[in-house]
Amino acid sequence: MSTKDNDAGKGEGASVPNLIERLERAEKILTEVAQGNFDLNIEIFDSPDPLTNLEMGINFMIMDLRTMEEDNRRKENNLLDKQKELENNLSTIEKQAEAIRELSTPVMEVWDDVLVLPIVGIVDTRRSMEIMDNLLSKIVESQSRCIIIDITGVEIVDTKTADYLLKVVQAAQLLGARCVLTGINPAVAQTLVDIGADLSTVKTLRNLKAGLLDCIKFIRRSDMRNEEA
Amino acid sequence: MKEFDYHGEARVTGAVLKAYLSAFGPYQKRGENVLCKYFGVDELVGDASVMYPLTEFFKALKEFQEQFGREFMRKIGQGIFANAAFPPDIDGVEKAMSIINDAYYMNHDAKPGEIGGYHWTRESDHSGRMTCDNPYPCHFDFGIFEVIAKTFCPTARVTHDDQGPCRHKDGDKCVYLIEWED
Repeated sequence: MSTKDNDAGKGEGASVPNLIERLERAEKILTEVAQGNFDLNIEIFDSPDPLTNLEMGINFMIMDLRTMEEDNRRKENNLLDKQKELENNLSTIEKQAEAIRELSTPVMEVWDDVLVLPIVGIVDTRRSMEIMDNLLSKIVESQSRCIIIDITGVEIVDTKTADYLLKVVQAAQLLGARCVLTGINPAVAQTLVDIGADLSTVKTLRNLKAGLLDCIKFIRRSDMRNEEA
Repeated sequence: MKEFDYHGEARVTGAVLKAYLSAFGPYQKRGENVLCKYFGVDELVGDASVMYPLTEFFKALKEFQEQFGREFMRKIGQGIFANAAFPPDIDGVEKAMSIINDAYYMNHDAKPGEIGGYHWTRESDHSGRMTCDNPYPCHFDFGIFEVIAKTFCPTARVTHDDQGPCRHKDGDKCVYLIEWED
């Protein structure tokens, strides 16, 4: 159907097909175009009749459709590239978030038999579970007797956060560790009272230093009792 | 030079573009849009005082040759004599043919020989050969010669020498035999 490389026009000039042939040719090409094939053309002959204008119009329409198809393909490829880029960024963000989570729940052994869990920022369900897992496995691993949960870095506490903290304390106590809660600031203390959080089973102290001294005393007393026994 | 095989800095006048557009009939605006797209302009100025890059013009011509066929190039070439600048006092086929190369360089801003040319060789009182080694398409030149020859002699004949090279078929030149009567 394409007439791109024919030799019409050599010598005295190409013979123009008759009107019926040209109409049939135009119909075939339009059928192909309707099926999405835009790599087509109609050869224009030096024949000043209305059909020539129709043929030129078809050619322009094919050119437009081809241009639109190429534009769409280019845009689609750009979108796919951007999607890939976003997926890569998302994966990086997830890795970074994982790293931040690990760094945000450190459990440190600051004295023989004494672990400190400093909590900074907001404690949600996911984080409280991570804190719990991390702390309990560290207690089992180190066989520590005292745990200091320091919440100096926690600025806001609500019912859920208080509940999470209590659960962590209860779980640690079930493993035989003694828990001390330190670093409660005035605003947090006020909130805990307002929401009626039951902290009666938890020993609370002003700061980490006081908590550490309390734990050391407890361990010494406990050791002395063991020696006497 | 092969068809469209030019990558230099030469420019073409708006007058040649006017000839190009005349071939589009009712679709002149569409043809102009294609040229504007390649030239990166909003509007074309179709006179001799404004120049446009030849390389971009060839890209547009090539696109149209592929879409509209080679006969359409011939149609564009036929509009050249009426629209482009030609030296004065042309009174016959032979004189017209012999000055086409001058007209070619009048309508292009290029160094001598940079864009090939039109080389006329007289063979008899009523015939001659035109050798084209410019980068324009074969049929475009055919259309130019056809109109010029028939302007001075309606029975004139223009024939492409199919035995020799052809720019459309990767040859570096085309030869046309031109015959006319008194």
